[in-house]
Amino acid sequence: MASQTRPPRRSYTTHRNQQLGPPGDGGCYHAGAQANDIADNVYGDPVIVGTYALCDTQHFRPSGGFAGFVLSGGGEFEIDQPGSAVTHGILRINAVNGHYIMVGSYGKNPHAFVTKFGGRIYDLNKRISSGSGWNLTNANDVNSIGEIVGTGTYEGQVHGFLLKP
Amino acid sequence: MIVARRRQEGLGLVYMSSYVRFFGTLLLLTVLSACGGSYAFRNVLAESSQHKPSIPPIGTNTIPLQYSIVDLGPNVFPERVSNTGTVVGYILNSGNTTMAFAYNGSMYQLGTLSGDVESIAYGVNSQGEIVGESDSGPPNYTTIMAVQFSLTGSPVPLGILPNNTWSKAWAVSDSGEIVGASYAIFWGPPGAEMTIFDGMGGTTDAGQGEPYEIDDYGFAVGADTPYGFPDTTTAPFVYYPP
Repeated sequence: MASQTRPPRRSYTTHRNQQLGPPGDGGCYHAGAQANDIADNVYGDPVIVGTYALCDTQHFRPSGGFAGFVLSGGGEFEIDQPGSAVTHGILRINAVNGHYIMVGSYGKNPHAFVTKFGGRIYDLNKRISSGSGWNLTNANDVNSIGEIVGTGTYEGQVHGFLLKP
Repeated sequence: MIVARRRQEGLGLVYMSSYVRFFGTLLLLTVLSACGGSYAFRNVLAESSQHKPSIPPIGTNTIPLQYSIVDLGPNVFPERVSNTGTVVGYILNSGNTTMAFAYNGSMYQLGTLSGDVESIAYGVNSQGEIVGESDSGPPNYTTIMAVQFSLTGSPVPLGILPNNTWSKAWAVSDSGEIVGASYAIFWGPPGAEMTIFDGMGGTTDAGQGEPYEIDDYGFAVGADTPYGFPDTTTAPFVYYPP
């Protein structure tokens, strides 16, 4: 399922220590939200990514889910929606590079993903050699040449990885 | 599946187009050479090369179909990768303590401040400058100090804001700005005060918040605790440089 982006809902301006919340419709402001990264070399219109906790809207308490957000061009975009068949309402965006390529993790059994702003979410496990023995669970960062670092399991143990395009 | 099918259809068109161009060019060359001279042949080649699509640097602005994977080792937790390919993070040791590392083709353990048992590298820039923390370890974490690491020497302490107890350096930009936080109440939010380190022990209070990243223009982003201790609400924030 493709990632879903929403049209800008709320404008924001930046100044010293400007708060960017509260996030999304289903967001639990009190349950935690944070900006994780800012794209390099994008002056004047920062592209900021992060994660916020989702709410059980009936009881207004944390649902255990997370969603990613992107702040860009004066608007806020949610990456994937709670209840998605792909993410099961759990998606974290950890980093973005200057080409708007973003990485993070999604799902109850976490999968590392890569996506480009406005594009599909790709499971990084399907972008490495099949039969490699790796299960990539989280992508922490992506640099300007598209190299990605994160963690996964290999031979039953947690390993760090570096992916090269 | 739809995307894959479209891609295959697209490739089919490309192949068909190539055949048309190839046989068309062959026919043209045959006619031109029959008319005499190889001048037309050179011109066709020149025109062909002028219309070649420019190929973007690999991996810069597209998501590749296939990545090659480098195994950084067991119990290795990478935090960041610089634009020049240096990876930093920490290794979880058997005693459940952490050791900062950097990888640039070779693996380096970055050490701790004297008397400490743990360290973590959180940030690295294109010049290979690495920042993070050195601490006394669990369970009490009596000391946590922001540090700058080097591949060959000992970590250098970056300081703490006055009247605070702990500090961490979360990120360093390509222009060399180091940001992190100092903590008076407890490490991590709540109670984080954004700190700009000058690299020589000097610190500047940049207002409430814990910045996790800074870009080359001095914009920093992170988490803020708008209602203060003991409220644990966190909200994203951006720091706009003066």
